[in-house]
Amino acid sequence: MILDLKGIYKNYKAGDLDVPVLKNINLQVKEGDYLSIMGPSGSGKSTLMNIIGLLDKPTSGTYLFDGVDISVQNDHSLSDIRNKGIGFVFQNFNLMPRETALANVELPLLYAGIKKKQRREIAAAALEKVGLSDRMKFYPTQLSGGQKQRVAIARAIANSPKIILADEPTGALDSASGDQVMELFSKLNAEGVTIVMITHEKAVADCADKIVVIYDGELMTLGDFEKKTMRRKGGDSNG
Amino acid sequence: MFENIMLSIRGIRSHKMRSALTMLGIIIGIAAIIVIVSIIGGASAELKDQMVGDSTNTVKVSLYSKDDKYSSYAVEEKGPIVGITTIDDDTINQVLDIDGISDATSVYIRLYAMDVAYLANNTSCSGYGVDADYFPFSGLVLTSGRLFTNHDYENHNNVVIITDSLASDLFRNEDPIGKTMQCGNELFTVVGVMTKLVDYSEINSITDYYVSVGFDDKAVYIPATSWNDAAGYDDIQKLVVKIDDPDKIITAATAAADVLNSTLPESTFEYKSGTLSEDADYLKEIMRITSLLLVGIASISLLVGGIGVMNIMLVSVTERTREIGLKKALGARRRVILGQFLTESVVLTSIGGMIGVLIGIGLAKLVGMIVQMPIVISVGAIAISVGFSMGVGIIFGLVPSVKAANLNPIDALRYE
Repeated sequence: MILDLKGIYKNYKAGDLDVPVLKNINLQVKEGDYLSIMGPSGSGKSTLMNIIGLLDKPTSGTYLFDGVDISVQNDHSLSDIRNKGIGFVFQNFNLMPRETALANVELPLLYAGIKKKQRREIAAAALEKVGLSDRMKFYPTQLSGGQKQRVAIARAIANSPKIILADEPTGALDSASGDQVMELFSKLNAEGVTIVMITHEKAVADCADKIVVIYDGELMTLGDFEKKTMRRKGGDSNG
Repeated sequence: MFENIMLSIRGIRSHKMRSALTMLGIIIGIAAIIVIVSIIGGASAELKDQMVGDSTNTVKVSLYSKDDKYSSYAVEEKGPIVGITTIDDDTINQVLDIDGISDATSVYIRLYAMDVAYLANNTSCSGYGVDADYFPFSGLVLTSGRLFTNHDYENHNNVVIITDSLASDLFRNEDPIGKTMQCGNELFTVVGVMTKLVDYSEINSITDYYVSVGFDDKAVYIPATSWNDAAGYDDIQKLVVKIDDPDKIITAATAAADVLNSTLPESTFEYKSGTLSEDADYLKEIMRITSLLLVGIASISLLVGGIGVMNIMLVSVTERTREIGLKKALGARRRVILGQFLTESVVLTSIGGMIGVLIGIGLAKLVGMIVQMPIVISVGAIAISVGFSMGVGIIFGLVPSVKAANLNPIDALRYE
C-alpha cells in the first residue's frame, strides 16, 4: 500500500472557529493504481492533495506513506520522503524560469544528492521519456504550455518516486496539449507508475482507472456523489 | 556549494542594477577602509624610517646631556667630556646578547664644519675623519695623487685629500699635490684630489639618493687617527646597532643604551637611542587612534550597507516565495534553502568587498600620488576587508535566509 489514509480530519482556524475542511477521509492507493480525485472548487481537494503530498499535516487521523507513519516525521525526513517518494505535477507547471529544461529536471536529483554526471544522464532519460530530448537546453519561456507540463512530468518521474501527484495537470493547457499529457500519464501508468490526479474535469478524470469524489470535505464514490447531487437537484426542482 | 555560488552569481546578474546598488554600501565602506589603512600604513612606515631606524634597520645610540634630550652631545660646540671612555669589546658583546640585535659596532662620526686655508685663500668646508675602508663606498674617485696609506694612519700623519671643487677654490691654477694647507688648527699636506665617481643627476636607488644628498662638493678628508690634531678633540663614540625585526627596534635599542649607561660613571650624561623614537611611538599611537576612528566611521558605512543587503534579500525572498515553495515540494531540505539564500547574500557582499578593495587600492594610489606620500597596501587589510564583507553577508543574510527556510511550502506554492 503506497497511500493509506485513515480517519483524516483537517480543520482550519478562522478566528475562534474551527472550520472543518476534511472529514473522516479514508483512502487507499496501491502500487500501480491510477486514481482521479474529482471535486468542485472549495470541496477540500487541494487540502487533501497537500496532505497526501506531505506539504500539510492532518489535524487528526493516521496517514501511512509507503508504510511510514507521517505524523512522527520531522521536517528533514518529510523533505526526503517528498524528494524520493513523490513526484509533483502542478497546474501551472512551476518550472524555474532561469533554468533550462534539463536543469529543471535535475533539481530533485540534486536534492537527492546525486552526482552531477549521473544527474545529467537520469534527467536526459526522463526528458526522452516525455518526448522532449530535443528541447533539453530550452528555457521554459521558449517552450509551449504542453511542453512545459511535460518537462514538469519528467521532473516528477526523475527520482523514480512511489507516486505521482498531479494537481489539475491539464488546467492551464489547450485540449490538444491536455490530451498529450493525459496520454503520457496513461503510458507511465502502464509502465507501473502509481498516479493520483486531482481534477474537476470529468473527461480528464475518466482517464484514470478509478474515480473518487470529494464533496464538502467528504470522500465518496462517483456513484454516491451523483446520487447525492441528483437528489439535491431533484429537491430543488420540487421545491 | 559551487553550484549555489554559480546560482547566486546568475541571480545577481539577472538583477544588475539592484545588485549594484545593494553592493554600493559595502563597496564604499570597504574602499574607505582600504584607503585609510593604506595611507596610515604608508605614513607610519615613513615615520618609522625617519625617526626610529633607516631602511637598513640600524639605530644610533649616542651620548646625550641629561638636560638636553633633543640633540646628542656635540663636542664641537660644547667641548670634550672628561671621563667618557671608548666603547670596548665587552660592552659590544653584551649589546649583541640583547634579543633582536643582530649586529653592533662602535663608530666615530667625525664630520664637522672646518675652516681651511691655503696662503691667502680661505673658506669653510666639511671635514671628515675617515678610516681606510671609507673611500670604496664614498662615491669618490681619485683624479690625482694617492689615497692614505697604513703608514699615514699609524704615524698620525698630517695628510689630507681634498675634493676637486675645493682644490680649484683654494689652489686656483696650482697643483695642490704636495702643498701644505691649514685644516682647523693644524697644517696638512695634500696627497690626493678626488672627484665624484658618478653624476647623481639621475637617482636610481636609495643608495644613490643618500650618496647624492650626503655628498659635499667641498670637503677635506683626514685620516681618522689624525683627526684630533685638526679638530682639536676627538668625537665621542656612538654605537650603531642593527635590529632586523622592526617591531623590536625601540625595545632593543633602549636595552642597548642601558648597557652603555651601565659603563658610564655617575655623570650628567647618558646614552640614548634615536632621539625621536619615543616621539615616534607617540605619533604612531595618535595615528593608530585616528585610523581606528576612521575605520569605525567606515564600519558604519558597512553597517548601512549590510542593512541594505538585508533589505534586498528580504525582497528577494518575497519575490521568490513560489520558487522556495516548489523547491521544498521537490524535497529541498530547510538547510538547502537556508544555504542558497545565505550564499547569495555572501556572494553579493563578497563581490562588493572585492570591488571595494580594488577601488580602495586605486584611490589610495591616487591620493598617494597627489599628496606625494608613500602608501602601503597591506595584504592583511585586504584579507580582513574581504572577510569582513563576507561576515556582513552572513550576518545580514541570516534573517532573510531563515525566513525563506521556514516558509510553509503550501503557502509558498500558493503565493501569487
